[in-house]
Amino acid sequence: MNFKRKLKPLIVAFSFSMTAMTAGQILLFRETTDSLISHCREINRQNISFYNLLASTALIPSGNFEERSKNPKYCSQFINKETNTYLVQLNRYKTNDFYEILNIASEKIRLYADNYQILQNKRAKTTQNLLVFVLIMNVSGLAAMSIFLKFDTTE
Amino acid sequence: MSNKLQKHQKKVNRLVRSSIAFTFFFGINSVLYINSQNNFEELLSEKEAIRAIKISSDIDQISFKTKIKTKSQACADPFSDFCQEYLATLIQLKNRIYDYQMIFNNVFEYQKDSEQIKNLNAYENKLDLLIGDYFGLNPREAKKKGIQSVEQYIEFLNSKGLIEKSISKRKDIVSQILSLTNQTYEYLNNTVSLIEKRALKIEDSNLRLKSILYGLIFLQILVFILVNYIDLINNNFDKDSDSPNDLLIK
Repeated sequence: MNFKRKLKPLIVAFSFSMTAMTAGQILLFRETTDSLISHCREINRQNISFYNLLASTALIPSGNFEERSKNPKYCSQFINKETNTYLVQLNRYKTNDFYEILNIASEKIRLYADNYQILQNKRAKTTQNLLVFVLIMNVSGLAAMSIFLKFDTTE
Repeated sequence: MSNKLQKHQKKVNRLVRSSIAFTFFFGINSVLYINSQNNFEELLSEKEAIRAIKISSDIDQISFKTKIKTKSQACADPFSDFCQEYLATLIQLKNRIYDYQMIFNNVFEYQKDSEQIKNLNAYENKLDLLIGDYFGLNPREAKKKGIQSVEQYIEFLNSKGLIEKSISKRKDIVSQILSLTNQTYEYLNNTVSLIEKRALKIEDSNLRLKSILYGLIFLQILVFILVNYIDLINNNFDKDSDSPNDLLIK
């Protein structure tokens, strides 16, 4: 199948626009995941306040406070392998001492907080690169389009 | 008009109609997407609020009850700092009940005249009255008198000698306050549990959002391909050529 000579830059322009559009869709898709990561981070912040309150009060709450402050399952998909290994090790440690449980919980919260911070920083960098990429693709598409228009005028 | 041109126009018309139809579906889908995205964000805030109340209410209840018990016992002398601390604790509790109403209104989106907010407001008002019974002036009246801090409040009470003198009556008011604290937290926990049961699961909401997004992406690509295809075949069309191939030059 042969296209006219003038159409070649037009096809290149379409390809650039298509790539920019796909990158835009990836950005939109990442936005949903970002909301969920922020939510998980907020839950961890709540746990920080909760354990600070527990550490500063002389009262030991009734009921299983570890269960209440547990991270939701859907947040575990954002935990990296290294953090997960540390968390598994901490989970293996069993004790009945309230203050030891409190220390372990604090360590876990710190690990979660570091994990979410690193993850959000990485994602912010990728988003930034994607935005620049969209810009480059758009401008390249326009350049290819101008070449097509030149050929079109000549014809 | 040549047969070739007619055929070409027919094909382009069909493609244009299809692209307009897909754009229409894309429009509907984008409204759905925006709506789902907002619902998803609201659901996340709701879950955060539910969790915050659930993990803090027990500690708040225990902590308020202990403070009320110890500080009310120490408030035998109205001029002591303990009475000021006791009053501060009760005002904190009153403010906390008000905060719960704000959460119900702003996060759970209950109207101000809803049963839930009305009930919490009734607990707050009852506490206000009980503080008034104990100290001789309730916080609402104190506010009307321009009192802005607990220090000013206690100074005003002492200068007027308003604090209840009868120990048995004071004990009775304290037990009423403790019972009111229990009732408030019991009501709060039950209501929050009901909201939690009623709320959608985050996983389900996320799945729905992603499905709509996939639809949006698919339709956008389809419209893009269709429009660009029309552009390509239009530009590649040679009406002067007698070639049997009417669209693309071979």
